[in-house]
Amino acid sequence: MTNILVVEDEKNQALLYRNELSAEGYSVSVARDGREAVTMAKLNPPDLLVLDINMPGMDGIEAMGKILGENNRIPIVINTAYSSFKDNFMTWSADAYIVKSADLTELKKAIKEILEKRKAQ
Amino acid sequence: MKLVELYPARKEVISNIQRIISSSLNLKDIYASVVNELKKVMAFDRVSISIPIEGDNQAITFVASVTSTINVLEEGKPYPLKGSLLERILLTGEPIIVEDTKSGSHSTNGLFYKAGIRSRLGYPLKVRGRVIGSINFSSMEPNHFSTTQFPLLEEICPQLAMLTENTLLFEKVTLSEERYKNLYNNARLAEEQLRQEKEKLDYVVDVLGIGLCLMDRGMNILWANANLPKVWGLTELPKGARCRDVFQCTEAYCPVARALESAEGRYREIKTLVRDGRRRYIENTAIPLQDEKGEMGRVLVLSRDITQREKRLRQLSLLRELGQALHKTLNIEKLLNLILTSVTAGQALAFNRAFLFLVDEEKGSVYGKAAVGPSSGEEAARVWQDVSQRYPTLEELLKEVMEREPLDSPLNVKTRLLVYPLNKEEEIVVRCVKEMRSQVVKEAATDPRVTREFREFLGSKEFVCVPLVVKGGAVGVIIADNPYSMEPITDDHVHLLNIFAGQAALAMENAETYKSLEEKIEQLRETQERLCRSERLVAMGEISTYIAHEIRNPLVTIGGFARSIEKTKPEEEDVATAARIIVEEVSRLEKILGNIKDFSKPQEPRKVRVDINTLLEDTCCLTEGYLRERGINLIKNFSPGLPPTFLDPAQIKQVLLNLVKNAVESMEEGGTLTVQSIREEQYIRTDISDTGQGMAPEVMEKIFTPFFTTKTSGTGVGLVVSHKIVDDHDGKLRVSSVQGRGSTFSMLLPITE
Ligand SMILES: Nc1ncnc2c1ncn2[C@@H]1O[C@H](COP(=O)(O)OP(=O)(O)OP(=O)(O)O)[C@@H](O)[C@H]1O
Ligand SMILES: [Mg+2]
Repeated sequence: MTNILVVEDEKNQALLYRNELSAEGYSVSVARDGREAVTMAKLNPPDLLVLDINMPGMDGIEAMGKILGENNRIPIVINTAYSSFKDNFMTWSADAYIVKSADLTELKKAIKEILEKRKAQ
Repeated sequence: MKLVELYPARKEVISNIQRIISSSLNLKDIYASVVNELKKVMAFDRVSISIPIEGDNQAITFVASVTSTINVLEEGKPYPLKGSLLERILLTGEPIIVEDTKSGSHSTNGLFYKAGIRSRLGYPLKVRGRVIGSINFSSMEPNHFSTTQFPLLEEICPQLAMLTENTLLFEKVTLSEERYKNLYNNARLAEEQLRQEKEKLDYVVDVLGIGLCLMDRGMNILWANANLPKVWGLTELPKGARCRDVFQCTEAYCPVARALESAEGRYREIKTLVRDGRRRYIENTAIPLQDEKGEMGRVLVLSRDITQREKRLRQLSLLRELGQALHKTLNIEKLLNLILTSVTAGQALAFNRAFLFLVDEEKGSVYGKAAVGPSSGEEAARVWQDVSQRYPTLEELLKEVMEREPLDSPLNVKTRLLVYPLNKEEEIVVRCVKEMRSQVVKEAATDPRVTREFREFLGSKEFVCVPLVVKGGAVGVIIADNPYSMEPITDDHVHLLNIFAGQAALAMENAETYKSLEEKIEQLRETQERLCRSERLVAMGEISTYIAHEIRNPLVTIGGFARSIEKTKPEEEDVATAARIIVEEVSRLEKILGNIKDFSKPQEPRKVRVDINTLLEDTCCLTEGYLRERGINLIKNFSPGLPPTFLDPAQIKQVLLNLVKNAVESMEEGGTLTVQSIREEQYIRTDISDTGQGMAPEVMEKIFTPFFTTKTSGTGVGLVVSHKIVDDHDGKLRVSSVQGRGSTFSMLLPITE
């Protein structure tokens, strides 16, 4: 089963992702912050990482750097409330950049596409 | 990545720089303060502004850093442009980073390397898309600069560029003023030389043309040379003539008597007499001499006809007077009128008529600009009589000309119809421009330089054509003639007119420079306003970042779960409805957030060729139902045949909708909405007028401030976004409003080829 690691500090939102992505047939684990994400990814490398960027501390970016440093084959989807930094972060080798929305269609679509592309390789 | 921490600092820096720039017009002071501000958000060791020298392959460091002691490329000292950083920037219009002067490819790098500078950043200073120079930063460390500095510079450089350009322009004006003064000084110098010459002549008895006579104490003429009767206009010297028979002295003052009394020194007088209807000036000098007995019993009298010289002196002082008058106005239309009046005024150059032609470089033609003079002999007699009575002095006449609007005489109208292409060299006007030499025509009917057309236009036998020359190029031509008095045009006249034309051309150039200076100041004001707004937008960017984070996140959770509930297809209808409402409301809120994002990170307009009237028609169509519902009457008033413009139809439609929405919201009781399109110079103007409640001045002041609203359900972003869009189109948004009567919002979009 495809394993997705969601990094999200807001408890309720994390629950939403867990429910919705599980319903899509993925196995979902949640990390509450960057440090936890790094440890979890090391113990059990996920097939895909969904990452929130917390602008003030930017720990999402740091986490991404660390995880990619360990295993640069894990695809990453940035899912964030900040729309205006898209251009900056796209260059940081994320596979997709999604502005958070209550409508998860776009997020799900991006995950599916990336995984399919990986499988084809 | 220090982007986030820099936000507030950058905002403060921009606002400080804005204040500094509006505080004075001295570039050096401003520049020093701007550099100090920049240091807060950018690290560097040296900064300078470089500009190319016109028509020369050199550049000049205009202002070197005031805050650093590194001495390289001395301020004000030209250096070769070739291969320099500035040359590249001029060529590409793009910023350049030199990572290491040790290996960089620009000619100036070696110099910098020697001075301890390792890396450099040059950023273009552009005025209306044209690079006028660059601002250059340097650092002692290699690889010091990066593109992350560009957004900040992009914000500040247009202002600095405008300011630099203005300073250069000011210098240009001062320079031509200086040249102006020199011209006066030259005239004064010539006058002074003449005076000295006159002085010298008083001592040297130059027999040629000078009447000499020797008198005794009894004022009997003992001897006279042949010149004396000629000078005094007598056919012969009567035998035994006495002093007063020739010299027409007054009893009270006789230089001869004076000379005899004091028995030393010289006495001089100038006599005016009228001969053959012309005024003549005669200068008498009496010099006491010793007689045979060794007493001062004789007087030698020298008489000279100084009419010519007197005239030249008078002309010189006239030229000075005219020059000063021309200097009094910077309004080009008034100046041209003044020039023509000077050529025709009886107290000045006294031609019967004067015509002015100007060169239009762009169109490659010379065209008739204005003319002064009567249309017939009778009119001439009447007008001259009238003018000399009403304005006894030149000063009074010129003053009147300055205050009065020029009259449109038939001659003026006729002149304005003339246009000659610059390649039509057989036309004397064109030839005069090309050769930059005056052309004197004595016999228009047979002179090969005069075409039939021109001869018929002018209708006079004799005329003169002088060029208006500045900086080695002719900007126009003055033509003058005397068809009514028939007075011949002498070399003297031509000479005088030529000198005057030189003054006139300089004054014209001055006025033109001033005009463009005024335009520049206007541009500066606009840039300043724009900067003010960008300051607000930075503030807004911060707010939107905050909103995005604080609101978007909970919205995701709320809406997301509502969607989950919806998907489970709940049995109870109440639950399904509630979930649907939540989903709808959340997506509405998310859309608003999307809008706010739009102006913190603006989208480039995608411009296409559009007929504005079609766009207006479309927009009106969209709103017709909405208007009818609210009892609002729509009047469309579109000017036909407007040129197409380049614009982003979606964005402009958004602006129109925002304006219409505001207009409708101001007419709660219904009213009339007028949509009008019209050409205004190089813009197409669209007016949206309502008959609504209008705005109080305090409201009007704030309507472009983000989130300002007077409405309970408003968000206060409609006009901010509209303004931004119009700005991105290089257009303008204007407002006028009368409280209780209504408002008009005008959108001006530039017409582009
Ligand atoms: N045609 C008008 N007549 C009178 N007042 C106006 C007009 N247009 C704008 N205003 C004033 O300018 C304010 C700001 O307008 P703006 O369109 O930016 O925001 P808004 O209309 O209040 O909200 P929204 O963002 O929903 O459009 C308005 O609240 C109103 O006070
Ligand atoms: Mg509005």
